[in-house]
Formats: sequence, C-alpha cells, structure tokens
Amino acid sequence: MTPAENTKHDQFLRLYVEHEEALNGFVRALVPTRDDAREVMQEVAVVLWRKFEELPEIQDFRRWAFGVARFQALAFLRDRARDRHVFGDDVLELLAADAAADADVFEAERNALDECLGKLDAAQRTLVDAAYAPGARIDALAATSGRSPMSLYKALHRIRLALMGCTQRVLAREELT
Amino acid sequence: MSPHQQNLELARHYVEGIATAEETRALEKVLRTDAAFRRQFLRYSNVDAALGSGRLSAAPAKVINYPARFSCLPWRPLAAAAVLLFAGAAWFFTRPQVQLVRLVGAEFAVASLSSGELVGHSMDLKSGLIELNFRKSNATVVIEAPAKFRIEDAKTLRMESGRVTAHVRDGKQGLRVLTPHTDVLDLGTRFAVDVQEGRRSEVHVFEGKVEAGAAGVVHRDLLTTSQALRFATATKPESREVRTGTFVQPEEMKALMAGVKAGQAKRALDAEAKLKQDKTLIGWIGFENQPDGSHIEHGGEVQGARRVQGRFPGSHALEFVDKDDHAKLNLNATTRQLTLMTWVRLDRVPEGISSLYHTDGWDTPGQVHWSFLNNGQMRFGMHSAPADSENGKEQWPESGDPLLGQLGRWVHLAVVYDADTQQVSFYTNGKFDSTVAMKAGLPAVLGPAQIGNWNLKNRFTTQHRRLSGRMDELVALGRTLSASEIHEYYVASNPYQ
Repeated sequence: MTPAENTKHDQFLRLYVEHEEALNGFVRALVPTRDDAREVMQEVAVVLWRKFEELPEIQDFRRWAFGVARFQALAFLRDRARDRHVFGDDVLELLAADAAADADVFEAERNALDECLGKLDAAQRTLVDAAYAPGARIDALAATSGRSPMSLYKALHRIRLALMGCTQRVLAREELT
Repeated sequence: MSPHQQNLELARHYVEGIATAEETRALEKVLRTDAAFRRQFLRYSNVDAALGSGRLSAAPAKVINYPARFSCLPWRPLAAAAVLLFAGAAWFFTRPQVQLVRLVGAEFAVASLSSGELVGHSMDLKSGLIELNFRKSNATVVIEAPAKFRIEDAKTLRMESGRVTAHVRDGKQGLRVLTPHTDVLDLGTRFAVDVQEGRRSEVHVFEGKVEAGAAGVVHRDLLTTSQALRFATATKPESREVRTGTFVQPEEMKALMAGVKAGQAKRALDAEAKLKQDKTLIGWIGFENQPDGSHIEHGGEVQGARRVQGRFPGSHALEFVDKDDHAKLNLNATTRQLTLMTWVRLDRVPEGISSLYHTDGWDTPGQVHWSFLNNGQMRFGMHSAPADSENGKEQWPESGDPLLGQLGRWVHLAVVYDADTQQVSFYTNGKFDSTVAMKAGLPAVLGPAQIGNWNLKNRFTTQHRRLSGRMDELVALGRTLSASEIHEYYVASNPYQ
C-alpha cells in the first residue's frame, strides 16, 4: 500500500473498530438469528470499506455506518423473505430508527454487561459460555448436558433478562455517583 | 402468563430463531404499536448480540475484567492491495491466538493491523493505546505509545520501545516479553515493562512473580510483588522502586476510551484556547509543539525528564523518574493574585516532598514552592521576609484531603493565592478542598524555577524534591480563578468519562 492508502486504511480501521460492536447490536435487532447478523455484518464491513472514500466528513462515520447497516439488513431480509419469518418493512423501519436513536444507551448497557457477567453464578455462567461459544448448537448442548433443548432456551432467556436488569442497575448506580 | 411475559416469550423465540410464522406476526404486531416494548426488544437483542460477539472469552466468571469488545475482528485480505475484510463464520472456528481488544486513539506509522491473526506482525504505535488478548497465556496486555513492538508468537511479545502492562490471569502458560535489554517471563502475575529505546528497560511487578534476566545472559532474577529492576546494558540490573502508577492498566482503558469517544480531547483544546485568551495569563506550559525535545514553552529547558504521552492520545507530558530529572523555566512575574493549575499522574507515594513547581533557592520574600507531600496533601509554600520568619509568619499551608487515592490516574490540581485577602485555596479534580489564611500578604514572585524537582546543593547538603510521575500541563494566571471556573476547566479538560 502507498503511504496515503496506509493512512486511509488505518483511519478506517480505527473508526470501524470503534463502532463495530454498536453496529453489531443494531443489526442483531433487525435480523432473526446471530448467524444472520454475522452474515449481514460481513456485507456491512465490505460496503463501508468500498465506499469509505465517499464519506464526506469523518465525524459522520457513525451515522453513515448505521445507515449502511440498516440498508444491508433490510436487503438481507428482503432476499430471504420468502422462506424466513421476518418483520414487515414498517416494523423494521421503526426498529432501525429506535436503535439508531438509542445507540449510546445500548453501548452503555453493553459496557455494563462486563460487570454483570461477573455476577452470574457458576451454573449460569457455564451455560452462557457453552451456548454462546463459536459454532455452539442448542440441540448438541442439550444432548451432552442431559437437559431438553426447551429447558436450555428458557434458562438462557432468564439469564438474558437478569443481565438486562443488572445493566440497568449498574447504569443507575453510576448516574448517582 | 401476563401479556408482557407473553411478549417476552415471543421475543425469545424470535431471537433464538425458533419463532413460527404466527409468532413472528404476533411479535410484529406488538412491535408496531408498543414503543416501550420495542425498546425492550432492542435491549434484549443487544444483550444477545453482545454475548455472541466474543465478549465472554475474556470475562472469567466472578471476575470483573475487560472483555474482548472487538474480538469479532476477523480481517482478511480483500484484494492484492492487502485491503482488509471480515471473514465470518470460519473465523470463529480458527480464532486468532492474539486478538485486538481495544484501541484508544491509536495512530500507527504503517498499516499494522493487516490480519485477524496478529502473530508475526510488527507495529509502530505513534499515539494512543492498544489492548491485546494473548489467548494461550490468558493475558490481557495494554501497550502505550510511542511504542514499537512485534508479536512473535502466541506467548511472546517483543518490545523495541514503549510501555506494556500485562495481566496474566491463571499463570498456566506464562507470557514472555523480550526487549533489547532483558528477557521477562511471567509466572502468573500483573507486571509491566518500560522500554526506553537505546537506553534501558525496567521491569515492575505489581502482584505475583516474574523471572527476568539481562538479554543474552544466563543469570536470571526472580521478582515478586512490589519489586522492580532496571536493565541498561549487560551489566548487573539495578534495583528500582516500583512505580505502580506509571502504567495504564486495563481498568483505566475503559475510562480513557469513553473520554476519547465523548470528544474530551477537543473539549480540552477548546478550554485551553479560551483560557489562553485570559489577559492575566502568566504562563502556559503544555509540553507540546517544541521541535527540540530538550525544550519546553517559555524558553524552558528539560534536564533528564522524558517526553512521554500525555493524558490524551498524541498529547505530550514530561515524566520525572530519576532523582535529577527536572525542567527549568522562568515565568518572570510578580503578582498579588495567582492561580496555578496542573494535570499530573503520580506514580507512587513520594518519600518526602515532590515538587510541582519550585522557584529556585529559598531566600526571596514571596517566592513560591508548590508541592505534593508523602502524606498525600498539596502544599503551597511562600517565603516571607526574614523579620516575618522570626515573628512566625513563614507558612506552608496544606490541603485537607489526601490525594493518595489518586495514584495511577490523571489528576487535576489547582491552588489559588490572594495577597489582598491573605488566603490560599486548594482544589483537586475541580473540587474545592480548603482555604487557609496566610499571616503575610506578600505578592507571589515567580522567577527562575524548576518543574518536577527542586535541587538544592550547598556544602552541607544535596536535596531532591523529585516528582515521581508525569506532568501534562502547568498553567499560571495572575488572578484568582473562582471555584466554578476551576471546576469548569477540570470538566472540560478531563481525559476520562
């Protein structure tokens, strides 16, 4: 790469790394599964890099990246609408608007999650680690753990709700101090 | 089951990817009409996305630490130009041995991060901070610019220059840090290595054990908690005091990153520009923009002290480590009202008195000595006329709240002196601490002085008042800033959020 390309590349890398998690959370809300989100995020990254030169102001990166992510998620869902259970365009638009408006709040909640994960008991933590491990499948997990897939889904649901409650408490506490 | 619980159940099915067509339509209907539930659904998805993004891999149970926020960074070549791209599912089965976790204002000299796998990569970090996770060693590593380093393999980091802090969690497979001067093997601990290019390397152990030896020498030393060694050449290493606060720990990265994201660097520059317009400004030493590293603003001269990264990525500070380190300057002012402010990072509890700003000698009425004491308090010393000394008017007022809790992080200190009201007020991190009455109302005299030290040599004694740590800026104004002005400046110039 030329020095100019290096600079541009580093600039893109910094911006992308800074916003990647927020974009991922945003995309995850728009598509049904984590694998879908992963697929969309690959496209988002490619498009952002290809069009990076067209970004007029670096300060606009976040807004621009959210716009690209929203477009890619909607395109992904349209392509798969025939055989997948997905929301209509009007609901997707509502979700996209809310997710973009509250991006800072969601980021704060993700950061608070660091502390909340440490508060899970050993059994909860073991389950979360296993269920969210790369390539993990609930049916395989159920087979090895001797529990039914439904009981694992429900246990994970309770953990997610507990983590949501915990992040709110952490953020409320920080606001008070 | 309440309607709300039913809705959450629908959300669960959708997020798990097991919702039926009917359930999806039912959820869609709620999301369309219920804004509060829509937000809750987004929060639920947010938690799921965060858990699925690799956050768990660096967050052991019951330990609050600093997970891989950006672990999902699977870079791959896109074209011959080695442009970057994101791999995807396959990456999750072949995860990098060394992962990028966080960047805080990082600027590289070349496109260093060209692959998801960082092993084998050399990096030249010009400014900012980078956090890495060495998965095999279960080590979180923070590197502060300026730094040149190479990730040799899954357990070895080679540092040519810069500072690295390592937190190795289980100690099963130690992290190795190589420098031009030493070879450090972790034995389960928190430690740091400071490499000054062409001069020396220091190894500091905060907790646990580390084995270290001079490069190319068979003999190795075992360092335990609160021990430090300096390796300069192949000669015997020199024992040093451990400087706990020198190194940025993973815990601090978060607050610094939040500060960068919140635009604090820009706010600080704006606040600086505003204050520089103040007609009573006597001096502003920011340690910036001096082409020659041996000089600072106002014709000041650096002696021994090292120019390092300041409180913002890419900004500069002076670091005082050795007993003769200091900077000289002459603000050349006499004023009845005086405000002094500084941003400092204290490395450790001082042994005696640490100079923030000391005018030379101690023989001129009105001359000022501003310092930090080993009891954790700030002191504002003002020399009085000999007759006053005899009458007990010589004073060294001190602040109330000890600052010892502020070690190892940037702290803003301010002192305000008014000869007319004969009062001195102290402020820490923008917060009023105390006001002390002065017996004499002399004008403050700011002549030849030292920052970060006060060397007094005569035939009886050699004294040092070295500040152990960094100073980012020193400001002198010929008026008394109000409590709200000081607080406002602190808030605007604070690197943390």
